[in-house]
Amino acid sequence: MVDDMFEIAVDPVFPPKNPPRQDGRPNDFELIYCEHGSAYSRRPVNVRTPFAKSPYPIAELDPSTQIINFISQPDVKASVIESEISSPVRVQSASVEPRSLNQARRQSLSLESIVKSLQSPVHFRSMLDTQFISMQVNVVISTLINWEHLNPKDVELACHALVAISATPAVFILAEQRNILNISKLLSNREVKTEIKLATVSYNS
Amino acid sequence: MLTFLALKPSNSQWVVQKYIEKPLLYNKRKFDIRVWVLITNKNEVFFYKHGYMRTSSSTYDTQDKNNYTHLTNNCLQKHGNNYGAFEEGNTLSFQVLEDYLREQYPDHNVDINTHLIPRFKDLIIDSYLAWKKHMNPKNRKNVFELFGYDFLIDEDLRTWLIEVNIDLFTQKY
Repeated sequence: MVDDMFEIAVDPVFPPKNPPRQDGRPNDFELIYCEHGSAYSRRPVNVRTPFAKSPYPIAELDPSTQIINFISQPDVKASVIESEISSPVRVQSASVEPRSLNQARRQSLSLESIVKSLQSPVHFRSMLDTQFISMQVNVVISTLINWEHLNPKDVELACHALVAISATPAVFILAEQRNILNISKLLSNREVKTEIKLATVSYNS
Repeated sequence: MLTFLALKPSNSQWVVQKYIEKPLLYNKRKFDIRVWVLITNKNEVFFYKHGYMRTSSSTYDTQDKNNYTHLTNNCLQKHGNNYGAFEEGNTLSFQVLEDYLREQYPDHNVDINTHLIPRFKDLIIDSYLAWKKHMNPKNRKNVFELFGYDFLIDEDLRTWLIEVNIDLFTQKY
């Protein structure tokens, strides 16, 4: 390594009388970045991969792809998806939930479980946890948006969940643009029940 | 952590770093990866292809407060009772790591050159660009520096930059 390093850093300044390597072996230092070209590359070099590329080298091990798999689950019949999307109460349906998610995870996306989990200390152990909490937040917000079509008990649970979220580190998920827009719609709609508005005001305060 | 910081001079700067709770383990022991990076005054960044693993001598356990379990620095491990008990000098080659990964992740045909090293290079370039302004402040010619980059791989094979060392055996030039 030292020979290779000196070949790059020292030899151009102090040319060696006896070149250290005459066996044709390539220098094991690879130029990965230079802005204006160099003796090793006429052109600028930057081997950095695009920022959009996942930091997880194996797609199946990337927590974010699990969400993508959830959306594009091929086993779910298109007709079922269509009917569920058109239904205002789709957040309560179990038929579009992913088969890849385990039973416990499916159960934990019910409003009762969300409220229960948010009342206990929330730990962000990994990116996966954050995304799962984001899914829970989506369920809560979707329930509130569709409040007219749901039974009062579910709406009440969603209100409790929203208040609970505001008291946890997961509150930053509510700051996502789509959530802010949805909450703004709830606040500006005169038809929306007072209890729902109070829950959203609790978040905003 | 707050107690630690309270004892430090005011306005001093510290880096708070996430602890990786679920590192990839080598035979139930923690390891990190050391690679060498050469940077010249011409703003050239070179990556040395032959990095190596540095293993811990103790079985990994998050509840274990022993530094020998969590830190794989050679300067620490060499003082441990189990130093060299599993691997000579507690170091292993990339080839050993690749063989181990293929054994542990048989469905993914893990290749270090494809799956890990590109990410090492990304983090090296990112850290270089973050610090570039402060390197060679007197703009001296014909200077260079060799850095030791330490990476950790987690159980999802994501690479984390642990630290960048300048106080190597070669010292500063």
